[in-house]
Amino acid sequence: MLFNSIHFLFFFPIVVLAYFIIPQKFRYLWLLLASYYFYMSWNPKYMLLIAASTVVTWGSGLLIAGCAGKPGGKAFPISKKWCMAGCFGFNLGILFFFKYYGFASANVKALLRWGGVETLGMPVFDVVLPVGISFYTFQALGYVTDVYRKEILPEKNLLRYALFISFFPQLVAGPIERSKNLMQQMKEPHYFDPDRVKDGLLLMGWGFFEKLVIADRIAILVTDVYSHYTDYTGLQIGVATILFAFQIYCDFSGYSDIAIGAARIMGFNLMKNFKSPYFATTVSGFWRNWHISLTTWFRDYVYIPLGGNRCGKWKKYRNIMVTFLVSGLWHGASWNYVVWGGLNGLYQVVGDFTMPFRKKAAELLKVRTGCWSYRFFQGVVTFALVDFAWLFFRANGFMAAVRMMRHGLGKLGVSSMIDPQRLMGVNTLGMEEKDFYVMLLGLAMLMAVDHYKRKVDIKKALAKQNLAFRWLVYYGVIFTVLIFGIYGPGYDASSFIYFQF
Amino acid sequence: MGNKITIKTVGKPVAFLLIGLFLFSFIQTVFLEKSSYGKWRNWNVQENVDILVLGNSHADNGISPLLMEERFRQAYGQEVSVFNYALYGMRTEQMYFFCNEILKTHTPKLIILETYAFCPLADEHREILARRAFDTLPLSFNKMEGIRYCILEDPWSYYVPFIKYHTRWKEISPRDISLLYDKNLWDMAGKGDASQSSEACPDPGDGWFLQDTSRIQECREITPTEKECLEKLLLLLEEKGVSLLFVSVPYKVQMGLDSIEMIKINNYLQKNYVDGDRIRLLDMNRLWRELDFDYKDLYNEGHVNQAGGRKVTNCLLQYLETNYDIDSITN
Repeated sequence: MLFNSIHFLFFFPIVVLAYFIIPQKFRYLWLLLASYYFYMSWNPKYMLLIAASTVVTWGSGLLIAGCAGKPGGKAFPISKKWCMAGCFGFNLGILFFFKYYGFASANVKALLRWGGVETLGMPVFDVVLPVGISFYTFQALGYVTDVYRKEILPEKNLLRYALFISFFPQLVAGPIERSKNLMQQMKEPHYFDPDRVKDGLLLMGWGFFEKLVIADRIAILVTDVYSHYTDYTGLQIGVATILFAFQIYCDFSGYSDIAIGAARIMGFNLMKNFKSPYFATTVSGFWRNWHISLTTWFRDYVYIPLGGNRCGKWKKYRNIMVTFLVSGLWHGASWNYVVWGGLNGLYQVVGDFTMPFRKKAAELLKVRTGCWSYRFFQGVVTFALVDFAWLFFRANGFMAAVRMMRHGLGKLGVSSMIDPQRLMGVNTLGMEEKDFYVMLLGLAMLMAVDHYKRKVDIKKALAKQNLAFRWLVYYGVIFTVLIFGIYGPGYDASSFIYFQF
Repeated sequence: MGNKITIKTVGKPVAFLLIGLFLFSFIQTVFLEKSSYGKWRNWNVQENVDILVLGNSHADNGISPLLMEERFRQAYGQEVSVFNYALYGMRTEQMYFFCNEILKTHTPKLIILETYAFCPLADEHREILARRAFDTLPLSFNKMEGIRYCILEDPWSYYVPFIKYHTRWKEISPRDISLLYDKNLWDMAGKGDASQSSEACPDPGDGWFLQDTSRIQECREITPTEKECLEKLLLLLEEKGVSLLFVSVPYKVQMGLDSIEMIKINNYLQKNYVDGDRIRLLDMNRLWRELDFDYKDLYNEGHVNQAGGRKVTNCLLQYLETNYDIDSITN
């Protein structure tokens, strides 16, 4: 069940209505039921996986806490570690099987063939990746680690813990919540608050705007260019890649906003996942504001355990590279994702390494680094670096990315972006002209809001306005999504109206 | 802290919802595709309709209410109201529900039903055909039953059609809004002349219209669904005391059904439903020679042009004058 589906349009109000009617002490059970229904609407069999992961991590949490509580000698710390290892092995094993087995076996075969060894009869499993498995696995492992580190007490109520893992607003695409934040909220009473509901609905509306009006519209253009890149010049591919940066931002941020808004309506505060990342002036700054729940997860459970930045410069760089390579692999079982992650890690390593030299150069050249023009320049460079890496993320594989770059460099086509036939002389890269301008307007609105919210709390600013203005904004968001949203080919009038008899 | 429900808590959201629904229903009407809108609005303005034409593009192109009314006026001094409510692509399975709806407000003396409506329905065309019939009809139990009966996929979209039409924002023009209230734009819808095209279809030299179709006796059975809908329609017309005339407008071929097969379907209707009194049939596909009909009377292989439309309407008028008591079908 996608957020932008008719099914969810009926599901969500029913869940919320029942949630506030049911007595407080039973509400978590209702949410658990709703969350499992939500997850099973993708495929009922997925329920077994999430249930297994839930039971194993819950049991491990209790065992680990139990081990720690017992008096004794060295045998017990080892038991605690074995619990942890077993739990990680089980959950990562499931993740590996569904997400990485095909990738791993293909690479092992390739390696063996390169070494002149006949490929073994490695079994092939035709499995569909269960939706959200990467997210809830990390959320569960984060909980177990928090118990291991004694940062939280284990949850004794299996059903409440199951809700923490399966909470439907953030189940399939995050934010990846921390037990310290969400688990506590599941024990607190939540009351109906009209202002909070309004805030939640507005955030959901904005999320739908990002996803349906901007992201899904850009997707049409990007898909066409990336699928038929030989028909386009380097500059056009570049423009499509820039647009992809906004597509993935709006898609992901939109989904996160809908999740956060939906949770907010019910009284839950999920963590912010994006904070105007494209206004960052360094790559590390970008990563502090992009997919924050995942980045902080990797920081707390991979980077810091490896030593973080407290083990010398070269080990710090090693830790950064490992973290980002693993992050790349988390995003997808393919070398282009690994390269994408590696590039982002490399940017930060090189940036950190060259920082003293750049500072010195700026001093020598008397460059003013505090002015807005310099920050703007930094922002543009950061965006360019991040966007170059997105090319690998979006391409249909590493070699496809390489071929695309070769093709683009060979056929730059500076004049290809100008089209005198079009309304404003701009080449719309195969997209319908009106769609193209709606996309540009949407992007302008997005950047304006992102810029504004860095300085001002937009919700508070809006709340201070008159009712008529506020309602105008609300209706504006709703009808913009309804009219300009892209709902897929089945919702396009041209697919049926213009059939001539 | 607890749940604080006040009048303001409930009143503001209710007001917001009501205003939103009002705006939504207005926008929905603007975005609806308007090919049948003018006819629906004009139908609702008509005080009285004596002869109602139903069917699809064959009837829409072939039968001219303007010509018929003029002829009745000149020949009999009678003011006869003829309304052509044929909608492109209409099929029998929608016909009963459509008729049921429009007969709520009018009771014509005679309904002329063009028989291309029995052309087998391809699944991929269901949506457009159903939308043309149902989207402009107001919500009613009849419409709900029609949607339930006729629609295979996404039936909910017929209750909230805006979701399907929302991409029309690219082509919305002032006319889409004017059509909602400007009576001048509905005036001729359903009441004007027939085919607007004067083009003639090139003659491929196959001698199609030189065939002797008078000897074709085979029948082609209609589908069970069509039978069911036709029988319900006949019952409805009997209850209302409305006579029915099946008419088959000449053509060559369209959507895989050529006119020879159409004649076979007409034979089936003649054999099983025509009683010669309240239910009759005029098969103009058997009258190509009498009408001197050929490719010059078509603008494409499926539809008559202006010249062809005049021939069809005159033939129909002649049939009405010969076979009906004019007083019984006029006011």
